Amino acid sequence: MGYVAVKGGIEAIENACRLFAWERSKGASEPLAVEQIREQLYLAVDRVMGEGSLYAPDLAALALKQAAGDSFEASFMLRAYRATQPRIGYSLPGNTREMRIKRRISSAFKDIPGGQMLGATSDYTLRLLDFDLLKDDTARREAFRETVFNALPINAEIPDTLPKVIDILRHEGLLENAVDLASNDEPFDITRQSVIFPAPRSAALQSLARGETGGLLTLAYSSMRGYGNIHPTLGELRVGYVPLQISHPVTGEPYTVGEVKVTEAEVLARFDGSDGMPRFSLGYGLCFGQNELKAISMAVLDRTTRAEKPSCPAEDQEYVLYHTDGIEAMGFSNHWKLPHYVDFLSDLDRLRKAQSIAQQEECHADA
Amino acid sequence: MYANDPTAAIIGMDVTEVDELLTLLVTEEIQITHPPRAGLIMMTVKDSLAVNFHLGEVLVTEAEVLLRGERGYGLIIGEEPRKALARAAADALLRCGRPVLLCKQVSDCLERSRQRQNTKYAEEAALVASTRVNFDLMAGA
Repeated sequence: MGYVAVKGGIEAIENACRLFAWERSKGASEPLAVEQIREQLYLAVDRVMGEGSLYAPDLAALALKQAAGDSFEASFMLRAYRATQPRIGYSLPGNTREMRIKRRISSAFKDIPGGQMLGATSDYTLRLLDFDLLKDDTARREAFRETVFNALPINAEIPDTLPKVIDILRHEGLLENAVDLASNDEPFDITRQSVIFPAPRSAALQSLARGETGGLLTLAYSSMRGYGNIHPTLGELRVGYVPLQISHPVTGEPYTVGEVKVTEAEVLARFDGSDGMPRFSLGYGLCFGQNELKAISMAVLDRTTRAEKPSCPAEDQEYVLYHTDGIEAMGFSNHWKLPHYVDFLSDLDRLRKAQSIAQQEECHADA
Repeated sequence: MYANDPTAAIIGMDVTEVDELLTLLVTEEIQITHPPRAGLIMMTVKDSLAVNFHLGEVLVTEAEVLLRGERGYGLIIGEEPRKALARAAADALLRCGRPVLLCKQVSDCLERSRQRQNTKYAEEAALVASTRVNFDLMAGA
């Protein structure tokens, strides 16, 4: 069915946009500063950067403010903004082993070299409302800061880099090996090329890394519950900062542009014995910001979509990649709110004609 | 942090430190060949199967200058036109190596900021280290 354009309503549309801005600003509270959103709602900011596929904390905070907290809208704004900016170039391949660690856990081994660091997490909270936060103010924060720093153990420090859990398994021949480097072509760039299925690994990972958290979680959860058969264990989860480096245009030396906060997940999954020796297989997840559900879900889906004979949606690469981009899914769902008057009139006409034929056939049968 | 690149300290500088650095640098004649402009760097990473892929884009600011005939390049994360310019000028100056006194002053300025940032990183690391956990198996496990 074709689309038919309508026109008109400019004044009403302008007023509706203004009314939306009014709704978020009409209250008696102080205006929300972008800095406050960036600092105090940082997980929301991280999520928007990941799904918008643009690392820009200030702009993500601004987008959240403008969108009145709607993460889909905010991610869409970031994705739109990136389309207005020139691409200066590509970074040197980043190595997450150089991560400045903020959190690092493993559910595969209780003792890992360098130790497990729980970091800043709500994992162990009771999810009970903290009514003290209703009285949040500067004095309370100062007092809390003292509590945090006074409780620090003496000589508490962590090494600059920590070995990976998967290295231990690889060393013992228990985990699938890295891909043959000779076959590692230039990474596919889904922002410049259309994906053709089966997508190369680099395209699939880029697509999952910008996927919507809820969408990725839904499909990964379906696999965890049994619609699929990979039995993942979280080998290691890391949150921290990875250096962003380019090649210096004058000297050619590696040149650090900044640090990017990321979450990385590696899941160990069912044995694979394609080369005759059974080994754990690996699923890999990496995304901007601290978004652990997303990284874990991505890692699970990375593994499920490598199934040789997909048996469920989560194992079908095309299904997963086509349905987990939040901007596309939101855009398509939202387009139903736009006028479809002519299309629907056509539907009505066909329905009336179908009912008329059905009535005639009924009369004919009665006769 | 990134000791092999002295100008990298500018990434984490605060406003006062950038002002101090720029005050030093503008004593030289700086020709701005590319004024600061925002742009994007596509961040490429290597996954755990050694496959490179594009994680997403990062907002950066880029600037270029000429100082004593030396080309200086400044690229920095975020929308930071002053930092990008300062980094380009410091890049040219330190590679040129003249005037010696100014190079020393700029290097000292960068070093002071690096030390302040390292202290802050150490403080953050100590907080993280305080959450290091040792799990014991429960009896009978």
